[in-house]
Amino acid sequence: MLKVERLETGYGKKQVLFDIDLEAAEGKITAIIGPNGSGKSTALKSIFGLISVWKGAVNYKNKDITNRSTQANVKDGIAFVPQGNRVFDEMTVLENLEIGGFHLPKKSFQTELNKIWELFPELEKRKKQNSGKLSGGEKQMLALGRALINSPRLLLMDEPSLGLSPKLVTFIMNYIRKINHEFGVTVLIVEQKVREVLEVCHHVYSIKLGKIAYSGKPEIIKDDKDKLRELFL
Amino acid sequence: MLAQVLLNGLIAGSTYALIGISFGLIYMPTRFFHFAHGVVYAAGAYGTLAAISWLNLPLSIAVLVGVGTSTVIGLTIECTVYRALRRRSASSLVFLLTSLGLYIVLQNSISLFFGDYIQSIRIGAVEEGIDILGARITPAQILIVSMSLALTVAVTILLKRTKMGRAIRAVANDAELADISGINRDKVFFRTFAIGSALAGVAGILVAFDSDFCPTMGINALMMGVVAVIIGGVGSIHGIALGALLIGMAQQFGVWKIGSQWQNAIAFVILLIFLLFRPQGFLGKKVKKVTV
Repeated sequence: MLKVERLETGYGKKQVLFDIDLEAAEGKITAIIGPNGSGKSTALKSIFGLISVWKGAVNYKNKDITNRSTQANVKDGIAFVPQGNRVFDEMTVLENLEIGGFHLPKKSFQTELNKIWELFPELEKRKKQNSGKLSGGEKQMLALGRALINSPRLLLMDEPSLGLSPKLVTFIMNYIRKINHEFGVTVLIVEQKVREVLEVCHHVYSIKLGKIAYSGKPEIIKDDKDKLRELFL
Repeated sequence: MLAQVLLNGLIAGSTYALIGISFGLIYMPTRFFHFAHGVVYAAGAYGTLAAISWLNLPLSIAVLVGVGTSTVIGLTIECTVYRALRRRSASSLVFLLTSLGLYIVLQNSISLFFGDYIQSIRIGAVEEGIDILGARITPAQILIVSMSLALTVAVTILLKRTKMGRAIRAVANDAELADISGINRDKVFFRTFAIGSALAGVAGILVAFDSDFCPTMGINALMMGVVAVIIGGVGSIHGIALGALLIGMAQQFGVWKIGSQWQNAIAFVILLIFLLFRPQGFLGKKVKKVTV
């Protein structure tokens, strides 16, 4: 579904990613792991159009979408959940979801909203509450809800576990599995919680110093402590 | 006397609220000091003046020409200058200086076309005004107060109840997250500049109905509007209206008790007190990052 070829990018004059090749297969969960500052989030942001690609190509559903606007990507079924449980914290839960479904016609928005309430019943109870007052877990649910309301085909997630307790990390990972399994959404997830993400993903890439250091099945490295240490040091 | 002071305070507060709300609406999503808004405000009065004296148009059409002039100038600045600066990721200081430059150039252009002398678009003969509990108010002043109230309600409804308003608030709250959600930031800015500039035009015209004006009319009005925005709290339309009323009242009491030369000083003392003790204003949220 998503194919990234020889991608190079960075910030200002500083190059962060070098010659990145990766794929996210349709209907699967693909993870990107790696040490802090290795360029994982940068890869995700450049795929989504938040930062510009210097070289290489991003293909989605066999179309070149390199440096396409985020609005065009959202309309084409790509959703992005940024790092840090980010929600519109001065707006209510319902307003956050309304912004998520901004381009939907009124009728289909209501249908999609009902699906979100079904998936996250906690959010419906708090729909009129200011989202800044939600707990970390609830914010992450809202962030997911905001992305899912457009019924995306590809979900890009940047460290959804950041700042969450271990119990909530498992909870969110289970939701990701559910979204992938029940709704058939292809997921590309960047994560630091290696053990947890390896449990749910079908394919894993490791980025180290801006380059792909590993690509393969998660089962192969899951119990290989030496390999994992090598990828992270 | 007290009734007249209160009424004068209400009138002054209403004019500050009109410019404050129009400035605050633009500041909300853009987060930079749109100095040139002062000229956009003056353009309303001068556009109306040109339509009446040069084109001999009836007043109702001339008012539309005035509002249109302000809207076109505001939108032209946004689409040609600010948008280009955003593409280059210019800092808020660059925006401030550019805006200040634009203000100077445009104000001088008004001087060039209309002259520096005092102008008037007052309708009919100067009358004594209507008596309310011993205080006098003119029809133009009643219009200022009622329009200010109506626009406070209208802009609040726009921001809270409409899709466009939600998009403006989303960009104001977290611009990158709004991008991620598929909101077109340029479109949001275009619409806020259109509405904000039109409102500034309305404010300029209403003030010109009440008193004489000159090309520098925008700067003082803008300063008072900005003080109202800071006192009221960025993002809160009701707060801005309350802030404007507070400055208007305080100034008029100051004029009554200590002298008219202290009018502006009073507004800035109130601003200082708020900046020191309640920087988020009456009803605003605590600002995470302040930009000029």
